Amino acid sequence: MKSTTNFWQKSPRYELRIAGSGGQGIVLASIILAEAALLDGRCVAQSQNYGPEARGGNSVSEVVISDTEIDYPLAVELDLLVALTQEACDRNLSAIKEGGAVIVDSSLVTKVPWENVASLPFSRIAQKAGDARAINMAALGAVTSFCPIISPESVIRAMAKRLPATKVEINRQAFREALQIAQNLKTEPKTSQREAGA
Amino acid sequence: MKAVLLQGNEACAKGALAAGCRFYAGYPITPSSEIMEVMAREVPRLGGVFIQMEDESASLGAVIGASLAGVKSMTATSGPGFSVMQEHIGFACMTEVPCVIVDVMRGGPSTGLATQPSQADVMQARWGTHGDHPIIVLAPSSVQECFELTAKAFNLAERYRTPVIVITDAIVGQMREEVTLPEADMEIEVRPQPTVPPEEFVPYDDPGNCVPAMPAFGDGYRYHVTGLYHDVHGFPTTQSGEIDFLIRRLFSKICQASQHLQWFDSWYENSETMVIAYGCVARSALRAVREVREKGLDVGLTKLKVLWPFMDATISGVLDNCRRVLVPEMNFGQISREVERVNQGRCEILTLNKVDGTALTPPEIVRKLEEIHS
Repeated sequence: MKSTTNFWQKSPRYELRIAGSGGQGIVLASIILAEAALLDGRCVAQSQNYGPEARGGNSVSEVVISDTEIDYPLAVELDLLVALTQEACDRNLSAIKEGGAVIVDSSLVTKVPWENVASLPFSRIAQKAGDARAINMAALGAVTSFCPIISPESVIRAMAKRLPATKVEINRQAFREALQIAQNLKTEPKTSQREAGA
Repeated sequence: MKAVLLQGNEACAKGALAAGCRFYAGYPITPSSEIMEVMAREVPRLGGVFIQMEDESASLGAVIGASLAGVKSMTATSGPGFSVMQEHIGFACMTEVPCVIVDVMRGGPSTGLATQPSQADVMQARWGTHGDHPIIVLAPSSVQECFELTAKAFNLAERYRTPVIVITDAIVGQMREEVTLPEADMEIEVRPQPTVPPEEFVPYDDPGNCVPAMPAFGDGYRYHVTGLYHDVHGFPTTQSGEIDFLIRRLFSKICQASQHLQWFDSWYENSETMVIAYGCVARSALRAVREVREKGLDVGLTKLKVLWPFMDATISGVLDNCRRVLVPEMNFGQISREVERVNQGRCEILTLNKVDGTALTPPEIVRKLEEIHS
Protein backbone atom coordinates (compact mmCIF):
# COMPACT_ATOMS: atom_id res chain seq x y z
CA MET A 1 0.00 0.00 0.00
CA LYS A 2 1.23 3.49 -0.85
CA SER A 3 2.63 5.68 1.85
CA THR A 4 1.03 9.06 2.36
CA THR A 5 3.67 10.75 4.51
CA ASN A 6 3.47 14.00 2.56
CA PHE A 7 -0.26 14.02 2.98
CA TRP A 8 -0.74 17.50 4.43
CA GLN A 9 1.08 19.13 1.51
CA LYS A 10 -1.45 17.68 -0.90
CA SER A 11 -4.75 18.21 0.88
CA PRO A 12 -5.95 19.90 4.04
CA ARG A 13 -8.24 16.99 4.96
CA TYR A 14 -7.92 13.26 5.53
CA GLU A 15 -11.24 11.47 4.97
CA LEU A 16 -11.92 7.98 6.19
CA ARG A 17 -15.04 5.82 6.08
CA ILE A 18 -15.73 2.59 7.95
CA ALA A 19 -18.54 0.57 6.40
CA GLY A 20 -20.19 -2.68 7.45
CA SER A 21 -23.43 -3.94 8.88
CA GLY A 22 -25.24 -2.84 12.06
CA GLY A 23 -23.77 -4.52 15.15
CA GLN A 24 -20.17 -4.72 13.88
CA GLY A 25 -19.13 -1.72 15.96
CA ILE A 26 -18.72 0.55 12.95
CA VAL A 27 -19.76 3.69 14.82
CA LEU A 28 -17.75 2.90 17.96
CA ALA A 29 -14.61 2.36 15.86
CA SER A 30 -14.98 5.79 14.29
CA ILE A 31 -15.58 7.45 17.67
CA ILE A 32 -12.38 5.90 19.04
CA LEU A 33 -10.48 7.01 15.94
CA ALA A 34 -11.85 10.55 16.30
CA GLU A 35 -10.93 10.60 19.98
CA ALA A 36 -7.39 9.44 19.06
CA ALA A 37 -7.01 12.16 16.43
CA LEU A 38 -8.10 14.70 19.03
CA LEU A 39 -5.49 13.36 21.47
CA ASP A 40 -2.93 13.84 18.69
CA GLY A 41 -3.92 17.50 18.56
CA ARG A 42 -5.85 17.38 15.27
CA CYS A 43 -9.21 18.86 14.37
CA VAL A 44 -11.77 16.13 13.82
CA ALA A 45 -15.37 15.50 12.79
CA GLN A 46 -17.04 12.11 13.22
CA SER A 47 -20.38 11.22 11.69
CA GLN A 48 -22.57 8.20 11.20
CA ASN A 49 -25.28 6.96 8.91
CA TYR A 50 -27.25 3.79 9.44
CA GLY A 51 -30.58 2.21 8.70
CA PRO A 52 -33.44 1.84 11.18
CA GLU A 53 -32.42 -1.75 12.06
CA ALA A 54 -30.70 -2.51 15.41
CA ARG A 55 -28.70 -5.33 13.78
CA GLY A 56 -27.87 -5.85 10.11
CA GLY A 57 -28.55 -3.27 7.44
CA ASN A 58 -25.90 -0.94 6.13
CA SER A 59 -23.91 0.99 8.68
CA VAL A 60 -21.42 3.67 7.73
CA SER A 61 -19.34 5.99 9.86
CA GLU A 62 -16.87 8.65 8.85
CA VAL A 63 -13.96 10.52 10.37
CA VAL A 64 -12.57 13.69 8.82
CA ILE A 65 -9.20 14.76 10.24
CA SER A 66 -7.42 18.04 9.59
CA ASP A 67 -4.76 20.33 11.03
CA THR A 68 -7.11 23.26 10.54
CA GLU A 69 -10.78 23.97 11.32
CA ILE A 70 -13.11 21.52 9.55
CA ASP A 71 -15.83 23.37 7.65
CA TYR A 72 -17.70 20.44 6.05
CA PRO A 73 -17.90 17.54 8.55
CA LEU A 74 -18.74 14.72 6.12
CA ALA A 75 -16.45 12.95 3.65
CA VAL A 76 -16.47 14.12 0.03
CA GLU A 77 -13.73 11.90 -1.46
CA LEU A 78 -12.32 9.12 0.70
CA ASP A 79 -8.62 8.75 1.38
CA LEU A 80 -9.32 5.44 3.06
CA LEU A 81 -12.25 3.01 3.08
CA VAL A 82 -12.54 0.19 5.60
CA ALA A 83 -15.12 -2.40 4.50
CA LEU A 84 -16.23 -5.20 6.80
CA THR A 85 -18.87 -6.77 4.53
CA GLN A 86 -18.91 -7.42 0.79
CA GLU A 87 -22.02 -5.27 0.38
CA ALA A 88 -20.38 -2.39 2.28
CA CYS A 89 -17.39 -2.67 -0.03
CA ASP A 90 -19.51 -2.75 -3.21
CA ARG A 91 -21.58 0.26 -2.11
CA ASN A 92 -18.70 2.48 -1.06
CA LEU A 93 -15.88 1.84 -3.54
CA SER A 94 -17.09 4.64 -5.81
CA ALA A 95 -16.55 7.19 -3.00
CA ILE A 96 -12.78 6.65 -2.85
CA LYS A 97 -10.59 9.25 -4.49
CA GLU A 98 -7.93 8.44 -7.04
CA GLY A 99 -4.94 7.00 -5.21
CA GLY A 100 -7.07 6.26 -2.13
CA ALA A 101 -6.88 2.94 -0.32
CA VAL A 102 -9.18 0.15 0.85
CA ILE A 103 -8.80 -2.07 3.91
CA VAL A 104 -11.06 -5.15 4.05
CA ASP A 105 -11.64 -8.23 6.16
CA SER A 106 -10.22 -11.12 4.12
CA SER A 107 -12.92 -13.63 5.05
CA LEU A 108 -15.94 -11.28 4.74
CA VAL A 109 -14.86 -9.33 1.64
CA THR A 110 -13.48 -11.29 -1.28
CA LYS A 111 -14.02 -9.07 -4.34
CA VAL A 112 -12.35 -5.67 -4.29
CA PRO A 113 -11.96 -4.17 -7.77
CA TRP A 114 -9.49 -1.50 -6.63
CA GLU A 115 -5.74 -1.17 -6.98
CA ASN A 116 -4.63 -0.16 -3.53
CA VAL A 117 -6.04 -2.84 -1.22
CA ALA A 118 -5.01 -4.44 2.06
CA SER A 119 -6.92 -7.56 3.02
CA LEU A 120 -6.44 -8.74 6.60
CA PRO A 121 -8.16 -11.48 8.65
CA PHE A 122 -9.77 -9.16 11.23
CA SER A 123 -12.44 -11.70 12.26
CA ARG A 124 -9.82 -14.31 13.01
CA ILE A 125 -7.59 -11.83 14.82
CA ALA A 126 -10.56 -10.80 17.00
CA GLN A 127 -11.51 -14.41 17.78
CA LYS A 128 -7.90 -15.20 18.67
CA ALA A 129 -7.81 -12.21 21.02
CA GLY A 130 -10.85 -13.64 22.80
CA ASP A 131 -13.95 -11.89 21.42
CA ALA A 132 -15.30 -11.91 17.85
CA ARG A 133 -16.77 -8.47 18.51
CA ALA A 134 -13.24 -6.99 18.63
CA ILE A 135 -13.28 -7.07 14.80
CA ASN A 136 -13.71 -3.29 14.77
CA MET A 137 -10.63 -2.67 16.92
CA ALA A 138 -8.63 -5.11 14.80
CA ALA A 139 -9.62 -3.04 11.75
CA LEU A 140 -8.40 0.08 13.57
CA GLY A 141 -5.00 -1.62 13.92
CA ALA A 142 -4.70 -1.72 10.14
CA VAL A 143 -6.07 1.82 9.79
CA THR A 144 -3.42 3.12 12.20
CA SER A 145 -0.72 1.36 10.23
CA PHE A 146 -1.76 2.85 6.89
CA CYS A 147 -3.05 6.25 7.97
CA PRO A 148 -0.07 8.58 8.45
CA ILE A 149 -1.72 10.92 10.88
CA ILE A 150 -2.98 8.75 13.73
CA SER A 151 -0.62 7.37 16.36
CA PRO A 152 -1.21 3.86 17.80
CA GLU A 153 -0.59 5.20 21.32
CA SER A 154 -3.48 7.63 21.01
CA VAL A 155 -5.82 4.93 19.69
CA ILE A 156 -4.96 2.77 22.70
CA ARG A 157 -5.61 5.70 25.05
CA ALA A 158 -8.90 6.41 23.28
CA MET A 159 -9.92 2.75 23.63
CA ALA A 160 -9.41 2.96 27.38
CA LYS A 161 -11.69 6.04 27.45
CA ARG A 162 -14.51 4.61 25.35
CA LEU A 163 -14.61 0.83 26.04
CA PRO A 164 -15.87 -0.95 29.16
CA ALA A 165 -12.89 -1.65 31.46
CA THR A 166 -13.31 -5.44 31.24
CA LYS A 167 -13.10 -5.36 27.44
CA VAL A 168 -10.09 -3.09 27.01
CA GLU A 169 -7.40 -5.79 27.13
CA ILE A 170 -9.01 -8.09 24.53
CA ASN A 171 -9.57 -5.17 22.19
CA ARG A 172 -6.06 -3.83 22.71
CA GLN A 173 -4.68 -7.26 21.81
CA ALA A 174 -6.75 -7.45 18.61
CA PHE A 175 -5.65 -3.91 17.72
CA ARG A 176 -1.94 -4.66 18.26
CA GLU A 177 -2.05 -7.96 16.36
CA ALA A 178 -3.65 -6.34 13.31
CA LEU A 179 -1.25 -3.39 13.51
CA GLN A 180 1.69 -5.81 13.48
CA ILE A 181 0.37 -7.81 10.51
CA ALA A 182 -0.35 -4.60 8.59
CA GLN A 183 3.12 -3.24 9.23
CA ASN A 184 4.71 -6.45 7.97
CA LEU A 185 2.50 -6.18 4.90
CA LYS A 186 3.76 -2.68 4.16
CA THR A 187 7.40 -3.78 4.07
CA GLU A 188 6.71 -6.59 1.58
CA PRO A 189 7.09 -5.91 -2.17
CA LYS A 190 4.03 -4.29 -3.76
CA THR A 191 1.44 -6.37 -5.57
CA SER A 192 -1.95 -5.26 -6.77
CA GLN A 193 -3.85 -7.02 -4.01
CA ARG A 194 -2.48 -8.56 -0.87
CA GLU A 195 -3.50 -11.23 1.53
CA ALA A 196 -1.85 -11.29 4.89
CA GLY A 197 -1.68 -13.81 7.70
CA ALA A 198 -4.10 -16.13 5.85
CA MET B 1 -11.97 25.80 29.28
CA LYS B 2 -12.27 22.06 28.79
CA ALA B 3 -12.13 20.52 25.28
CA VAL B 4 -13.98 17.24 24.75
CA LEU B 5 -15.28 15.13 21.88
CA LEU B 6 -19.06 15.35 22.02
CA GLN B 7 -22.00 14.45 19.83
CA GLY B 8 -24.36 17.26 18.82
CA ASN B 9 -27.21 15.68 20.78
CA GLU B 10 -24.98 15.19 23.83
CA ALA B 11 -23.95 18.84 23.55
CA CYS B 12 -27.63 19.94 23.53
CA ALA B 13 -28.14 17.99 26.77
CA LYS B 14 -24.97 19.41 28.35
CA GLY B 15 -25.96 22.93 27.32
CA ALA B 16 -29.37 22.44 28.95
CA LEU B 17 -27.80 21.18 32.18
CA ALA B 18 -25.30 24.06 32.23
CA ALA B 19 -28.21 26.50 31.88
CA GLY B 20 -29.91 24.97 34.91
CA CYS B 21 -32.37 22.48 33.37
CA ARG B 22 -33.47 20.06 36.09
CA PHE B 23 -36.57 18.44 34.57
CA TYR B 24 -36.79 16.34 31.43
CA ALA B 25 -39.82 14.49 30.14
CA GLY B 26 -39.70 12.83 26.76
CA TYR B 27 -40.39 9.95 24.46
CA PRO B 28 -37.36 8.62 22.57
CA ILE B 29 -37.11 8.99 18.80
CA THR B 30 -34.27 8.74 16.30
CA PRO B 31 -32.27 10.90 15.60
CA SER B 32 -32.80 12.73 18.91
CA SER B 33 -32.63 9.88 21.46
CA GLU B 34 -29.12 10.62 22.75
CA ILE B 35 -30.42 13.86 24.29
CA MET B 36 -32.85 11.82 26.36
CA GLU B 37 -30.15 9.24 27.15
CA VAL B 38 -27.83 11.89 28.64
CA MET B 39 -30.68 13.56 30.54
CA ALA B 40 -31.86 10.20 31.96
CA ARG B 41 -28.39 9.70 33.39
CA GLU B 42 -27.52 13.24 34.47
CA VAL B 43 -30.73 14.98 35.62
CA PRO B 44 -31.41 12.67 38.62
CA ARG B 45 -27.73 12.96 39.67
CA LEU B 46 -28.21 16.72 39.91
CA GLY B 47 -31.30 16.34 42.07
CA GLY B 48 -33.73 16.84 39.20
CA VAL B 49 -36.48 14.67 37.75
CA PHE B 50 -36.46 12.61 34.55
CA ILE B 51 -39.62 10.92 33.25
CA GLN B 52 -40.12 8.79 30.16
CA MET B 53 -43.69 9.63 29.17
CA GLU B 54 -46.20 7.67 27.11
CA ASP B 55 -45.97 10.02 24.13
CA GLU B 56 -44.74 13.44 23.03
CA SER B 57 -47.94 15.29 23.88
CA ALA B 58 -47.73 14.10 27.48
CA SER B 59 -44.01 14.86 27.49
CA LEU B 60 -44.50 18.55 26.75
CA GLY B 61 -47.47 18.61 29.14
CA ALA B 62 -45.21 17.38 31.94
CA VAL B 63 -42.53 19.91 30.95
CA ILE B 64 -45.06 22.76 31.17
CA GLY B 65 -46.26 21.53 34.57
CA ALA B 66 -42.71 21.32 35.93
CA SER B 67 -41.91 24.79 34.64
CA LEU B 68 -45.03 26.22 36.32
CA ALA B 69 -43.66 24.70 39.53
CA GLY B 70 -40.49 26.75 39.02
CA VAL B 71 -38.08 24.23 37.47
CA LYS B 72 -36.28 24.82 34.17
CA SER B 73 -37.59 22.08 31.89
CA MET B 74 -37.10 20.63 28.45
CA THR B 75 -37.95 17.87 26.02
CA ALA B 76 -36.49 16.71 22.72
CA THR B 77 -37.90 14.91 19.71
CA SER B 78 -37.87 14.60 15.93
CA GLY B 79 -40.48 15.42 13.27
CA PRO B 80 -43.18 12.83 14.10
CA GLY B 81 -43.01 13.68 17.81
CA PHE B 82 -42.77 17.39 17.06
CA SER B 83 -46.13 17.11 15.27
CA VAL B 84 -47.65 15.50 18.36
CA MET B 85 -46.28 18.32 20.57
CA GLN B 86 -47.82 21.18 18.61
CA GLU B 87 -50.96 21.53 20.74
CA HIS B 88 -48.91 22.03 23.89
CA ILE B 89 -46.51 24.44 22.18
CA GLY B 90 -49.52 26.69 21.63
CA PHE B 91 -50.56 26.24 25.26
CA ALA B 92 -47.06 27.24 26.45
CA CYS B 93 -47.14 30.33 24.18
CA MET B 94 -50.56 31.37 25.47
CA THR B 95 -49.82 30.72 29.15
CA GLU B 96 -46.26 32.09 28.83
CA VAL B 97 -44.55 29.09 30.35
CA PRO B 98 -40.77 29.00 29.74
CA CYS B 99 -39.57 25.70 28.24
CA VAL B 100 -37.14 24.38 25.64
CA ILE B 101 -37.98 21.92 22.88
CA VAL B 102 -35.26 20.41 20.69
CA ASP B 103 -36.37 19.11 17.27
CA VAL B 104 -33.69 17.03 15.54
CA MET B 105 -35.07 17.08 12.00
CA ARG B 106 -35.38 13.90 9.95
CA GLY B 107 -37.08 13.28 6.61
CA GLY B 108 -40.87 13.69 6.59
CA PRO B 109 -43.84 13.92 6.26
CA SER B 110 -45.14 11.26 8.66
CA THR B 111 -42.61 8.74 9.96
CA GLY B 112 -40.67 9.48 6.76
CA LEU B 113 -36.97 8.73 7.13
CA ALA B 114 -36.09 7.60 10.65
CA THR B 115 -32.33 8.02 10.43
CA GLN B 116 -31.77 10.54 7.65
CA PRO B 117 -31.51 14.33 7.74
CA SER B 118 -33.78 17.08 6.44
CA GLN B 119 -34.56 20.74 7.12
CA ALA B 120 -38.25 20.49 6.42
CA ASP B 121 -39.59 21.41 9.89
CA VAL B 122 -38.61 25.09 9.67
CA MET B 123 -42.15 26.28 8.91
CA GLN B 124 -43.65 23.76 11.33
CA ALA B 125 -41.49 25.27 14.09
CA ARG B 126 -42.95 28.67 13.15
CA TRP B 127 -46.56 27.80 12.44
CA GLY B 128 -47.11 24.20 13.60
CA THR B 129 -49.45 25.16 16.41
CA HIS B 130 -52.65 26.96 15.48
CA GLY B 131 -53.46 30.60 15.96
CA ASP B 132 -51.37 33.72 15.52
CA HIS B 133 -48.49 33.28 17.93
CA PRO B 134 -44.87 34.43 18.25
CA ILE B 135 -42.05 31.90 18.72
CA ILE B 136 -38.26 31.82 19.05
CA VAL B 137 -36.35 29.19 17.04
CA LEU B 138 -32.56 28.75 17.15
CA ALA B 139 -30.56 26.66 14.65
CA PRO B 140 -27.09 25.32 15.54
CA SER B 141 -24.76 24.14 12.77
CA SER B 142 -21.94 22.69 14.87
CA VAL B 143 -21.61 20.67 18.05
CA GLN B 144 -20.22 23.75 19.83
CA GLU B 145 -23.34 25.68 18.80
CA CYS B 146 -25.57 22.81 19.99
CA PHE B 147 -24.14 23.45 23.45
CA GLU B 148 -24.21 27.24 23.30
CA LEU B 149 -27.58 27.76 21.63
CA THR B 150 -29.40 25.23 23.84
CA ALA B 151 -28.03 27.04 26.89
CA LYS B 152 -29.08 30.37 25.38
CA ALA B 153 -32.52 28.92 24.58
CA PHE B 154 -33.09 28.49 28.32
CA ASN B 155 -32.04 32.07 29.02
CA LEU B 156 -34.40 33.38 26.34
CA ALA B 157 -37.25 31.18 27.57
CA GLU B 158 -36.82 32.55 31.08
CA ARG B 159 -36.31 36.19 30.07
CA TYR B 160 -39.33 36.31 27.77
CA ARG B 161 -41.52 33.60 29.38
CA THR B 162 -41.92 31.69 26.15
CA PRO B 163 -41.26 28.27 24.66
CA VAL B 164 -38.00 28.28 22.69
CA ILE B 165 -37.33 25.71 19.99
CA VAL B 166 -33.83 24.51 19.10
CA ILE B 167 -33.96 23.01 15.64
CA THR B 168 -31.11 20.75 14.48
CA ASP B 169 -30.94 17.87 12.03
CA ALA B 170 -29.77 14.26 11.86
CA ILE B 171 -26.30 15.42 10.73
CA VAL B 172 -25.64 18.14 13.31
CA GLY B 173 -27.37 16.15 16.07
CA GLN B 174 -25.45 12.94 15.50
CA MET B 175 -21.97 14.09 14.50
CA ARG B 176 -19.12 14.44 16.96
CA GLU B 177 -16.74 17.37 17.16
CA GLU B 178 -14.47 19.00 19.67
CA VAL B 179 -16.38 21.20 22.07
CA THR B 180 -15.00 23.71 24.54
CA LEU B 181 -17.08 23.61 27.70
CA PRO B 182 -16.99 26.62 30.01
CA GLU B 183 -15.37 25.69 33.32
CA ALA B 184 -16.89 28.51 35.32
CA ASP B 185 -20.64 28.84 35.63
CA MET B 186 -22.13 30.51 32.61
CA GLU B 187 -24.47 33.46 32.66
CA ILE B 188 -27.85 32.10 33.71
CA GLU B 189 -31.15 33.97 33.58
CA VAL B 190 -34.25 33.25 35.63
CA ARG B 191 -37.86 34.30 35.10
CA PRO B 192 -38.93 37.63 36.62
CA GLN B 193 -40.31 37.32 40.16
CA PRO B 194 -43.12 39.36 41.78
CA THR B 195 -42.12 42.36 43.89
CA VAL B 196 -45.51 42.60 45.62
CA PRO B 197 -47.09 40.38 48.31
CA PRO B 198 -49.42 37.59 47.09
CA GLU B 199 -52.63 39.51 47.86
CA GLU B 200 -51.57 42.36 45.52
CA PHE B 201 -50.27 40.08 42.74
CA VAL B 202 -51.85 40.47 39.28
CA PRO B 203 -50.42 37.57 37.26
CA TYR B 204 -50.88 38.78 33.69
CA ASP B 205 -50.43 42.52 34.04
CA ASP B 206 -47.88 44.22 31.80
CA PRO B 207 -45.03 45.46 34.00
CA GLY B 208 -43.87 47.74 31.16
CA ASN B 209 -41.65 45.30 29.24
CA CYS B 210 -44.52 42.94 28.30
CA VAL B 211 -43.13 40.10 30.49
CA PRO B 212 -45.19 39.55 33.68
CA ALA B 213 -43.61 38.14 36.85
CA MET B 214 -43.86 34.38 37.24
CA PRO B 215 -43.88 32.96 40.77
CA ALA B 216 -43.69 29.19 41.10
CA PHE B 217 -46.69 27.13 42.15
CA GLY B 218 -46.19 26.58 45.86
CA ASP B 219 -44.62 29.98 46.48
CA GLY B 220 -47.88 31.29 47.89
CA TYR B 221 -48.88 33.27 44.82
CA ARG B 222 -52.11 31.63 43.62
CA TYR B 223 -53.21 32.25 40.06
CA HIS B 224 -55.23 30.67 37.29
CA VAL B 225 -53.61 29.22 34.14
CA THR B 226 -55.67 28.68 31.00
CA GLY B 227 -55.20 28.33 27.25
CA LEU B 228 -58.32 30.45 26.77
CA TYR B 229 -57.88 34.16 26.25
CA HIS B 230 -57.59 35.51 29.77
CA ASP B 231 -57.71 38.82 31.61
CA VAL B 232 -54.85 40.15 33.70
CA HIS B 233 -56.03 37.94 36.58
CA GLY B 234 -55.70 34.80 34.47
CA PHE B 235 -59.45 34.11 34.12
CA PRO B 236 -61.14 33.42 30.77
CA THR B 237 -62.45 36.41 28.85
CA THR B 238 -64.25 37.10 25.57
CA GLN B 239 -64.01 40.88 25.80
CA SER B 240 -62.36 42.33 22.72
CA GLY B 241 -60.28 44.85 24.67
CA GLU B 242 -58.77 42.16 26.87
CA ILE B 243 -58.22 39.78 23.93
CA ASP B 244 -56.47 42.52 21.97
CA PHE B 245 -54.34 43.51 24.99
CA LEU B 246 -53.14 39.91 25.53
CA ILE B 247 -52.28 38.96 21.96
CA ARG B 248 -50.56 42.30 21.29
CA ARG B 249 -48.50 41.93 24.47
CA LEU B 250 -47.47 38.36 23.47
CA PHE B 251 -46.32 39.63 20.07
CA SER B 252 -44.66 42.75 21.48
CA LYS B 253 -42.45 40.81 23.84
CA ILE B 254 -41.02 38.60 21.07
CA CYS B 255 -40.84 41.58 18.73
CA GLN B 256 -38.70 43.37 21.31
CA ALA B 257 -36.61 40.18 21.67
CA SER B 258 -36.04 40.21 17.92
CA GLN B 259 -33.83 43.30 18.13
CA HIS B 260 -31.43 41.32 20.34
CA LEU B 261 -31.75 38.13 18.31
CA GLN B 262 -29.72 39.05 15.22
CA TRP B 263 -27.34 36.11 15.64
CA PHE B 264 -25.36 35.13 12.56
CA ASP B 265 -21.84 34.50 11.27
CA SER B 266 -20.50 35.94 8.05
CA TRP B 267 -17.66 35.08 5.71
CA TYR B 268 -16.60 37.42 2.88
CA GLU B 269 -19.36 39.96 3.46
CA ASN B 270 -20.48 42.24 0.62
CA SER B 271 -19.55 39.70 -2.06
CA GLU B 272 -21.29 39.79 -5.43
CA THR B 273 -23.15 36.59 -4.53
CA MET B 274 -24.07 35.79 -0.93
CA VAL B 275 -25.11 32.32 0.21
CA ILE B 276 -27.62 32.30 3.10
CA ALA B 277 -27.69 28.97 4.95
CA TYR B 278 -28.34 27.38 8.34
CA GLY B 279 -27.87 24.05 10.13
CA CYS B 280 -25.87 21.31 8.41
CA VAL B 281 -26.16 23.04 5.02
CA ALA B 282 -24.23 26.05 6.38
CA ARG B 283 -21.25 23.71 6.80
CA SER B 284 -21.48 22.50 3.19
CA ALA B 285 -21.92 26.09 2.04
CA LEU B 286 -18.78 27.29 3.84
CA ARG B 287 -16.69 24.57 2.14
CA ALA B 288 -18.26 25.45 -1.22
CA VAL B 289 -17.69 29.20 -0.78
CA ARG B 290 -14.01 28.62 0.04
CA GLU B 291 -13.62 26.39 -3.02
CA VAL B 292 -15.22 28.79 -5.50
CA ARG B 293 -13.27 31.75 -4.11
CA GLU B 294 -10.08 29.84 -4.95
CA LYS B 295 -11.39 29.78 -8.52
CA GLY B 296 -11.86 33.54 -8.40
CA LEU B 297 -15.62 33.79 -7.85
CA ASP B 298 -16.80 36.63 -5.59
CA VAL B 299 -19.01 34.67 -3.18
CA GLY B 300 -19.65 34.99 0.57
CA LEU B 301 -21.76 33.32 3.23
CA THR B 302 -24.16 34.40 5.95
CA LYS B 303 -24.97 31.62 8.40
CA LEU B 304 -28.20 32.07 10.38
CA LYS B 305 -28.30 30.99 14.04
CA VAL B 306 -31.80 32.35 14.64
CA LEU B 307 -34.60 31.28 12.26
CA TRP B 308 -37.59 32.81 14.10
CA PRO B 309 -38.36 35.60 14.60
CA PHE B 310 -36.84 35.96 11.14
CA MET B 311 -33.82 38.28 11.15
CA ASP B 312 -35.26 40.88 8.76
CA ALA B 313 -32.67 43.51 9.76
CA THR B 314 -29.69 41.20 9.19
CA ILE B 315 -31.01 39.82 5.91
CA SER B 316 -31.88 43.30 4.70
CA GLY B 317 -28.26 44.33 5.32
CA VAL B 318 -27.02 41.36 3.29
CA LEU B 319 -29.43 42.13 0.43
CA ASP B 320 -28.35 45.79 0.35
CA ASN B 321 -24.76 44.84 -0.36
CA CYS B 322 -24.86 42.04 -2.91
CA ARG B 323 -26.21 41.36 -6.39
CA ARG B 324 -27.75 38.00 -5.76
CA VAL B 325 -28.43 35.49 -3.02
CA LEU B 326 -28.41 31.69 -3.10
CA VAL B 327 -30.42 29.88 -0.41
CA PRO B 328 -29.52 26.17 -0.34
CA GLU B 329 -31.88 24.09 1.82
CA MET B 330 -32.77 20.46 2.45
CA ASN B 331 -36.46 21.14 1.76
CA PHE B 332 -38.46 22.68 -1.09
CA GLY B 333 -37.67 26.23 0.05
CA GLN B 334 -38.77 27.42 3.49
CA ILE B 335 -36.24 30.09 4.51
CA SER B 336 -35.80 31.17 0.87
CA ARG B 337 -39.39 32.46 0.89
CA GLU B 338 -38.64 34.60 3.93
CA VAL B 339 -35.58 35.98 2.14
CA GLU B 340 -37.85 36.76 -0.84
CA ARG B 341 -40.26 38.57 1.49
CA VAL B 342 -37.51 40.76 2.93
CA ASN B 343 -35.93 41.28 -0.50
CA GLN B 344 -38.80 43.13 -2.16
CA GLY B 345 -37.16 42.94 -5.58
CA ARG B 346 -33.72 44.26 -4.55
CA CYS B 347 -31.65 41.22 -5.58
CA GLU B 348 -31.96 38.05 -7.57
CA ILE B 349 -32.89 35.19 -5.18
CA LEU B 350 -31.88 31.69 -6.22
CA THR B 351 -32.59 28.40 -4.50
CA LEU B 352 -30.97 24.98 -4.37
CA ASN B 353 -33.21 22.33 -2.87
CA LYS B 354 -32.34 18.75 -1.99
CA VAL B 355 -35.01 16.42 -0.66
CA ASP B 356 -33.60 12.88 -1.08
CA GLY B 357 -32.62 12.17 2.53
CA THR B 358 -28.91 12.80 1.98
CA ALA B 359 -26.79 15.83 2.82
CA LEU B 360 -26.60 18.77 0.43
CA THR B 361 -22.89 18.47 -0.40
CA PRO B 362 -20.20 21.10 -1.11
CA PRO B 363 -19.72 19.89 -4.74
CA GLU B 364 -23.46 20.38 -5.38
CA ILE B 365 -23.32 23.96 -4.07
CA VAL B 366 -20.08 24.61 -5.99
CA ARG B 367 -21.76 23.46 -9.22
CA LYS B 368 -24.70 25.78 -8.61
CA LEU B 369 -22.43 28.76 -7.83
CA GLU B 370 -20.34 28.10 -10.96
CA GLU B 371 -23.51 27.88 -13.04
CA ILE B 372 -24.70 31.21 -11.59
CA HIS B 373 -21.37 32.91 -12.37
CA SER B 374 -20.92 31.44 -15.86
